[in-house]
Amino acid sequence: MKARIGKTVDQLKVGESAYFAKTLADTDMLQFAGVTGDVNLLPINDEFAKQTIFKQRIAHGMLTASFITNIIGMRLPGYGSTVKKQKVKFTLPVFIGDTIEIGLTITAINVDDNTADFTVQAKNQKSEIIMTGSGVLVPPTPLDDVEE
Amino acid sequence: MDYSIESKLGKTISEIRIGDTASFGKTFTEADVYQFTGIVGNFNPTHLNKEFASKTPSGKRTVPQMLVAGLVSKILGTQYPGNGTVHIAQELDFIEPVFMGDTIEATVEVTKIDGKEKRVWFDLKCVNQESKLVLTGESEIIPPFMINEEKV
Amino acid sequence: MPFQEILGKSIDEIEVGDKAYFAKTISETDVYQFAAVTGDFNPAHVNEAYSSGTFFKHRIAHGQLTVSLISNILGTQLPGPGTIFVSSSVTFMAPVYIEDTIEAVVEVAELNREKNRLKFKAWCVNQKGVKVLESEGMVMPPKKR
Repeated sequence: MKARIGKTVDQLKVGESAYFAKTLADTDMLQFAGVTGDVNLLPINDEFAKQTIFKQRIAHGMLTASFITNIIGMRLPGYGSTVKKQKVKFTLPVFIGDTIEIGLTITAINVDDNTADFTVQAKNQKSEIIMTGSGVLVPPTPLDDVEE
Repeated sequence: MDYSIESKLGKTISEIRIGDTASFGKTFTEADVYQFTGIVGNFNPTHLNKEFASKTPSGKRTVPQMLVAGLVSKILGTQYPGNGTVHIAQELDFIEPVFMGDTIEATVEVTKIDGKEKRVWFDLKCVNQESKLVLTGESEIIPPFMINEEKV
Repeated sequence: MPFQEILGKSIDEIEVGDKAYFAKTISETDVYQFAAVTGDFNPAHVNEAYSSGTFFKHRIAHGQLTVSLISNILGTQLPGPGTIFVSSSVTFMAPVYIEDTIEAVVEVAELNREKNRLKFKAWCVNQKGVKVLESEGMVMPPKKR
């Protein structure tokens, strides 16, 4: 099996962007709560959520942030990538049934230490900004160079 | 149903103190990785493909970084402050990779409280079973509050 | 539980024209879990905003998810446990939307008792009686010792 990797650092371009969108389903929130253990009542208990300023369940911020890695791991740069650091701000609540669209843009490339800077912005179906952020990612390196 | 959140609410801002800490540790298994990648749609072979992973420097499949970071969400959302916490911002520094089978212990510590804006900041540290630091970060949250309190 | 009792029908116990059924309301969770297991995050299945601008107007289930209801029948009812799936072809005729109720039907079309081969016809209909897919294929029923 050939090891297919995403874009290496020299294949990235400043200004390059990629997007990912998903309509947030109840199952996404419940599975996230289950796999992380974050059973905060605000995302999972209607009666609790009704009495907060949000009036209904809202998605875990970290769930929205996790979709950033979809773009990094699947598209830009793609397979074999990792994240070095990341900073995100959750600007609006996300509700079940909202469609979140995340855009990631490469803002700088550092060939010497094999990293690239990126920014992210996420919007809902009303084009309201729900999350902003930035970080440093590590593009993949060709695996044939690795000594066994 | 007469349901009041008062008793279920986590710590409100008046109950939070600088220096307070809370911890949670978990062993990350293949099941966690496969469920998490399924939710976010990240089918990066570094997490899911043994043959691919065997050619990387570590030789092993890694646990998605945001899954490990999910530990902070768990602590803030269920332990300290607890129910009703709203996550506002999160900074993360990924220091070492985490592999399937690793046990990671996350600890948060209150570092700053803004009583006027109703915000609390936490430092995050995650170590593995060899006491190696794998992840650090900072969280900003709105602590739980009753709706008749001053609106944020 | 004795092994022989777990096994489905052997070819001698099956007649041409035999039928079996399975029905399920396809939930959002089913579609999302199928995307999660297979990696198929085609926005047609997981993005309502995108889907509203397409011919289908709403998110649709993966074709293979609906087809798998047929392999359920083959593997648990007709012939049942021990069946080996050899081949199949499928034609998708109408979209399946989240919350559609789909009934899958398998009918025995031909039997080759010498070679232990069973040719089947199968189809899936939704709650409005619309056929959403047709399939045909070949399986080997279990052999009873």
